[in-house]
Amino acid sequence: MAVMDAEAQVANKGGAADSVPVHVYEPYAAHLPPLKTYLRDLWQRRRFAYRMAHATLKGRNYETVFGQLWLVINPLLLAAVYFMLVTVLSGSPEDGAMKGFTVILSGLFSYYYTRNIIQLSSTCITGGGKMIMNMAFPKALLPLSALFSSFMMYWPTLVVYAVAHFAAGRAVGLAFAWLVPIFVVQTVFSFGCGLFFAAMAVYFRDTASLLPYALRIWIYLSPVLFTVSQAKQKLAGNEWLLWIFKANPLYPIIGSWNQVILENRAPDGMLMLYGSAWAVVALLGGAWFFLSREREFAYRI
Amino acid sequence: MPTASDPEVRAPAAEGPPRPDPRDQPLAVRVDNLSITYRTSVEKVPTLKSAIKRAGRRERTIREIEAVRDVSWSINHGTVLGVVGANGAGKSTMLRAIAGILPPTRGRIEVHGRVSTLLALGVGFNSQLTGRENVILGGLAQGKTEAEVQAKYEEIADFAELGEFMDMPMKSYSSGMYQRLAFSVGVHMDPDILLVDEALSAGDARFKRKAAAKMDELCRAARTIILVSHGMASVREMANHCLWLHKGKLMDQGDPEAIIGEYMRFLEVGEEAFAMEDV
Ligand SMILES: Nc1ncnc2c1ncn2[C@@H]1O[C@H](COP(=O)(O)OP(=O)(O)O)[C@@H](O)[C@H]1O
Ligand SMILES: [Mg+2]
Repeated sequence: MAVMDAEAQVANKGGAADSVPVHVYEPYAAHLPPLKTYLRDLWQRRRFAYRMAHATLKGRNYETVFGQLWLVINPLLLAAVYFMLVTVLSGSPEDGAMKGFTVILSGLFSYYYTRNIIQLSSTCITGGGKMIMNMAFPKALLPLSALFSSFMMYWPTLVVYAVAHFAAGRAVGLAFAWLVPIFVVQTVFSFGCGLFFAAMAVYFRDTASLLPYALRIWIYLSPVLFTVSQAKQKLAGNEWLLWIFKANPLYPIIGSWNQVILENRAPDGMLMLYGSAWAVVALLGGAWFFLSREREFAYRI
Repeated sequence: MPTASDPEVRAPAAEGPPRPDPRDQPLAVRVDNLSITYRTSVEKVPTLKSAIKRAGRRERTIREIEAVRDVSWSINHGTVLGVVGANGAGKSTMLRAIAGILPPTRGRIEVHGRVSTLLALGVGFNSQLTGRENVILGGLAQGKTEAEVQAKYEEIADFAELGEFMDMPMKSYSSGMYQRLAFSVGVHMDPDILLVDEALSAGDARFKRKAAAKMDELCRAARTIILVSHGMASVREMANHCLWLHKGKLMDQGDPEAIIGEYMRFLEVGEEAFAMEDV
């Protein structure tokens, strides 16, 4: 449907004081909208994404005390169940229950951040019907707002984790500065996936209902119930099984996150490199897919 | 559709300075050979499941609907353009293309100035959110700053007269309240070009009078307005140029009185349509 694309050019006519914006809409063959204009419009409207994120959380009652509590209690309960499962399957953790619990907690909270971004993004275009039919704006604002919502849901769980971390007697050191780049890598990766699934849901409306299954399987393949070194140890003779784990983008991302938090050390260079590569690929791929399709969304909603 | 000619709706300040002549004004909108084709899948909701099921059979699943066909016209600033036509004529589709929402399939659209949309049933409103949030989000999405939107907010809320309902989710609004807010947002966003798609019909008599007075004020202020309406009287009252679309084609354009007469004869309902006004 490339020929249906239209280009909106903004030019300034006349003097600087009384300039009238001129828009020209016509079909054109290029795959992407003019990026400079697009990014400028997106940046200009960033407050929209922020406000929309707040409104979304409020709509889901997450801005009340009980809503906030639920955001924390839900993954806590899940972590408790996983902890029991892991204990039954592979015995009590060597360095105490509380320490074993923080291993699962840190990975699970981190996983939930990515999961929320993808899940909220997958409904943001198909659920934005009237807005998309009645207003012209860069549609990437909606996945961006899903990202902001997910972050607002993520940080309270980080506070809870910090409490558990200290309660378990775990250390904090300079290496924790690594958490910042890892967080950025994870955010970029998740946003790229979010863009992809947001556009995908326009073409296949069952995307949003199929995703939860895929996301549930994903958690078992990610270093949430185990750490990277445990996987390497236990799967030592089983190269292809280890390869499946390693092919997962969350393996380097959550893996390096856990290395810093749980072992108080700089993450493996390979994991960082590998995670960053995934982030770049996801962002470029997701943004390309989304941007090349978004002018068609209003035709399909 | 409220008009200043309805006896109950007559605006007190109807007599004002005459409208400036659009012929002396610069170009506002120019549409050249515009065609818009919807390509929709045959199934109502496209799913991955049905796509996989279909993959083996290689069926064509796309249906094309030519909503607008080779339409050309242009207006200068200060024109109030009435667009008439039966349901499915492509009026809403053409308006969305001018607003930059639907890219043209063929042809070209040139728009000089900021556009504000007042399209059917609201300005992209999300019914989960309160009226206040919707107004602010709508303004931010159109690229206004938070300060600009806040400054406009009081005016908008005052005009809509929704009182404490501004802080209630919009799903608790009646359709009249919905449209009062939509109207208020559309006219207060200071557009150079205001697009109105059948969004003015609701509200009680008092609000209609107010809306009519506001529209009159905008017309006199030489604002450019494109007005899609089934209310022939309002087109006759406000418009100084008129388009008639039928099944995507531009049947005729010109003086509102003449075009509406032609359209009425075409519909073979004559004066009956006046009785249907605002139903
Ligand atoms: N989202 C859509 N997908 C497919 N066809 C559409 C869509 N919107 C409108 N159409 C079709 O396009 C034609 C013109 O519709 P529209 O512009 O809404 O007409 P009007 O506003 O004059 O009643 C109609 O035949 C309608 O069925
Ligand atoms: Mg319509």
